[in-house]
Amino acid sequence: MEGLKYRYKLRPEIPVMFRYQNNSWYTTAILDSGSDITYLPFDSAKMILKMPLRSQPETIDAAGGKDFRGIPQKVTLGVLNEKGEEVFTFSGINVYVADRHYDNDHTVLGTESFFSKFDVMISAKRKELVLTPVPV
Amino acid sequence: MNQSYNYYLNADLDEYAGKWVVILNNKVLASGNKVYDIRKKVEELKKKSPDLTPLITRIQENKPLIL
Repeated sequence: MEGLKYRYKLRPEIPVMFRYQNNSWYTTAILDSGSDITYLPFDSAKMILKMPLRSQPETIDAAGGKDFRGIPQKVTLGVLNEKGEEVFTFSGINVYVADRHYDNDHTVLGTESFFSKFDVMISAKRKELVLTPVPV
Repeated sequence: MNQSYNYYLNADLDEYAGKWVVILNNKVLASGNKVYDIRKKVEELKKKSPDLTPLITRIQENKPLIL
C-alpha cells in the first residue's frame, strides 16, 4: 500500500481523532519514536473527552531527568489523512493521560500505540512525512 | 474536519503560538492559554451542531523542545 503523505509545520505531526465513549476530539499529535507511550494532556482528556480519570496514576520517566504521573486509559484512535478524512481506526489503544494540568503540554504518539502500526519516514528538510501501515 | 486541518496547515497562526485554538470553517473560533479557556466554545459547537468536527489543538511554539 502506498504511504500516507503529510506536510507539517514545525515538528512531525499528523491529524488524529481520539474517542472515549461518545466523545471525540479532532486534533494534531506529535510523532515521537523516542516515547514508549502515547500521551494526552490532562485538560483535553478531562474537558473534551470527558474521561473520569479515576485510575491510579503511574510514574513515567521523561527527558531531562524528570518524571510525571500518567493515568492509563484506553481510547479509540483515528488516523486522518491530510484531507482530514479518517483512514485508519484502532480501538482499545493504550494511552497515558497526565494526572494534572501542565503548562506547554503536547499530545504525543509513541511507540506502543502508534509506531508499532506504521513505518514512519520523516524528511525534516522538506517538512514532510510518510506513514506506511505495517501489515498485521 | 477537512477544511480545518487544511487551514491549520496553510494559515499563518503565529499569533496563536503556545495557545489552544478551536478551528472550524477556515476560522479560529476561539483561543486561550488553556483548554479551560476554549471549553465554552467547544461545548457550544457540540450542542448546536454535534456533527461538526472542529480541530482543537495547541499551536506549537518555535522554540527548542524535547519530549
